[in-house]
Amino acid sequence: MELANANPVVLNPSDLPTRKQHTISQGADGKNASIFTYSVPVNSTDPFFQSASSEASDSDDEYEAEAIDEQEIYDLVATMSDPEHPITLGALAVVSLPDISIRPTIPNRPESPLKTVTVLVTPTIQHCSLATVIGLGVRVRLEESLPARFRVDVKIKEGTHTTADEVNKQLADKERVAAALWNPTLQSFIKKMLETCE
Amino acid sequence: MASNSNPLDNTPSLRPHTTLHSPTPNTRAWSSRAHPSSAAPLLATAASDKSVHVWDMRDWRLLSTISGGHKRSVRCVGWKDYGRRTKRTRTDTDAGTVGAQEEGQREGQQDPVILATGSFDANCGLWVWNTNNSASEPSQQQVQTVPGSFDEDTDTAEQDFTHTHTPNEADENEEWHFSTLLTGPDSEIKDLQFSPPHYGANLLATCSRDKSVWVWEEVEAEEWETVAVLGEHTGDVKCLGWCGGARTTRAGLRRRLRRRWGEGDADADVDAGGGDEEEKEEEIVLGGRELLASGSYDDTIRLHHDDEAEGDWITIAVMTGHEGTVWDLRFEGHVNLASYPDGTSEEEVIADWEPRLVSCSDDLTVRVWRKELSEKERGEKRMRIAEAKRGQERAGAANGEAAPLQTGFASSRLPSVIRPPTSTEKWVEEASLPGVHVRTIYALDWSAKTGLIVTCGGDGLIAVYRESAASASSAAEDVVMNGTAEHNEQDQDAGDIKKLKTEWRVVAAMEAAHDEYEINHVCWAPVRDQRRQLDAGEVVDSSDRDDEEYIVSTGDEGDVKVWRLPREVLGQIRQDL
Repeated sequence: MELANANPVVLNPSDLPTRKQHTISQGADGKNASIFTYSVPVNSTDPFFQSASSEASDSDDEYEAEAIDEQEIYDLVATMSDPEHPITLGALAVVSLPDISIRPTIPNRPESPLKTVTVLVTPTIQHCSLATVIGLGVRVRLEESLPARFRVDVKIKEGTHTTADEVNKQLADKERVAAALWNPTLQSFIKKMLETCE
Repeated sequence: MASNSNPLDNTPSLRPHTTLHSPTPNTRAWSSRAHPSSAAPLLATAASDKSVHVWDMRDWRLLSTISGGHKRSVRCVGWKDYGRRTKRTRTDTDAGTVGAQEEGQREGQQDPVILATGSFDANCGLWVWNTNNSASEPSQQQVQTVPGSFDEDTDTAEQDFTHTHTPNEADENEEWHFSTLLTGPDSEIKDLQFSPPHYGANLLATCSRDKSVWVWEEVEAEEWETVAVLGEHTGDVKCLGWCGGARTTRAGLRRRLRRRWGEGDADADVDAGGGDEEEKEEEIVLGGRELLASGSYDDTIRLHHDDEAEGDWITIAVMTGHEGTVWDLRFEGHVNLASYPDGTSEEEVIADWEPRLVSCSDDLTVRVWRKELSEKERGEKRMRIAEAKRGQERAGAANGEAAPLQTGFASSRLPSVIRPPTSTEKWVEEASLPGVHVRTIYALDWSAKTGLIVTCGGDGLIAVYRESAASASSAAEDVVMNGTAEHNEQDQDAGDIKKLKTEWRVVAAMEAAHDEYEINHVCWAPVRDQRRQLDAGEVVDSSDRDDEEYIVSTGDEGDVKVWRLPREVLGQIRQDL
């Protein structure tokens, strides 16, 4: 198979932001979503200005009182690898911390536990044919790892891809995403992307 | 809308009736549908565990699980509707309920219960309920589950219903026997629907990600042929709806018109006599015609019909207002009288009324569409209405107060039948419902019984909307519509009905209806509970129950929830029934 981008720019892993010691990954099956329910106190009212250091991990209650922030989302997806290269999405700068945001899903219901995670994906080159697969992998990774109260929006970062609207529409379509996961070819692609995640 | 206040703050909530837990928890369920007849009080749920769960609506137990057929998620289900009307008197009590069921069973005795299932495996299956096995009282029934293999990797363990499961091999002990496999579409089946019972043919429509809509016809019992493949959409086809029209009676319309115009003292008489009268009277179907709507990932809605001149199915209208995937749509099946002015007779309503269409989308809007009449159609309609009016006057002179039924042309030429549409139609957006959803609106239903619309979406909200006469200020600008937008005042003649403005309001809502999960489907369902069970929870007066419908919602966690409308809403809609 011909590579869409044979010579991607690769960042030094030590330059990447991380806080991997306490990922909230619950295993690939995502069946433990009930760990985070309505009763979990959300100790962050403004997730946008939360400094990473303020959240020192306490391994005893890592499933309880901890809010999920952008860094955690980043750690979940940055460790995935490109389907073409054995290089992580973080190292390829396909995902980056500033392009991840978490907002309340229902703006005029601040007390609602629903949160929308938006991840903007930057394909390695403008016409990268694998943009959809990468986006799908990111969406699946987050949906399987995050509690059910999170809504996941994965989009192509504006101006970084020639068919961004088309790709975005597919990635936003729950039914197409669900159907794609029955496709053995796509399944193996995603499995490969997840191989580098712990 | 005020900036920070939530429009739903003062909206009454739905009342939870029961929750049906999926036998395979945390597995997404896609949609649920109730059988239309009281002879088969069944609710089917399509689930991503490749199976269909069937619930008994009398006691809400899981009756059976149909699995082993589809190889991927079951996305949609549909029941064949024979259109038997169970006759219920408006004053019925416990005894009346039993009577209604017996009536249904006697009438429906010959009608097999047929379920269609559409799956991501690109196939559509038809299943027949084995009534020999299932006709016993619910208390004596065994929950019989047909176990299937849920292991994707062991294909051999799965029953492949193309080979191992022919109709002749039906197991007598099975609750559901597999009847027919419909194959042809290239990819996931996204929706399906049987045609309404009064159509000339038994049709089934299916749609798929391959951008096509297929129409199948049952040419002989359990033998289906493809009659059309419509490929005009440029994206997945997400939803389908047949135009079934509104089933009503003249007496029923007359009673509602009187009530609407506050002839309240007549109410008791009308009700007491009305029941009998409505019993005796033949059902009429207004605005029902062989017309299929499809909504798509290409953001459009298309209308299709079997064109006699062309000798084939063709697309006759395209609606392009939505700015996102059209996820669901439904034709109107209830004659809303809110827009008819004082003094409108039932014959005028019959001559005038045409069903509208409602759709919901990824663009977070819910839109109501209506057909804009051509000059010719407008003229024809005006003649019909004028004639209905004249008939009314003649009879009024001859007969005193009572409204006539057999006068004029109304009884002979009126459209209780399917009228062939002209080859192209123009449909325009009539209204946009209040915007209360903040995530994709996945499904909606328009009640044929009450005219209420219900929607659900990824934000976990269920909202119920009601159309009523506009408030005094906006009603001052009455509009002449008669089915056309740019209607000139001077055109008014005897054939025009000066329609009143209406508006849609959210009358009930349920936030976080499935806790933090997305809601994939919502629909109206008839009340079939065994009476003692309903009474155990609360005292329900019989008329309350008779008029009621449930809302059934299906969520990502796999649960199906059954809801009742708030009491105040039941009170409001009773006058529309």
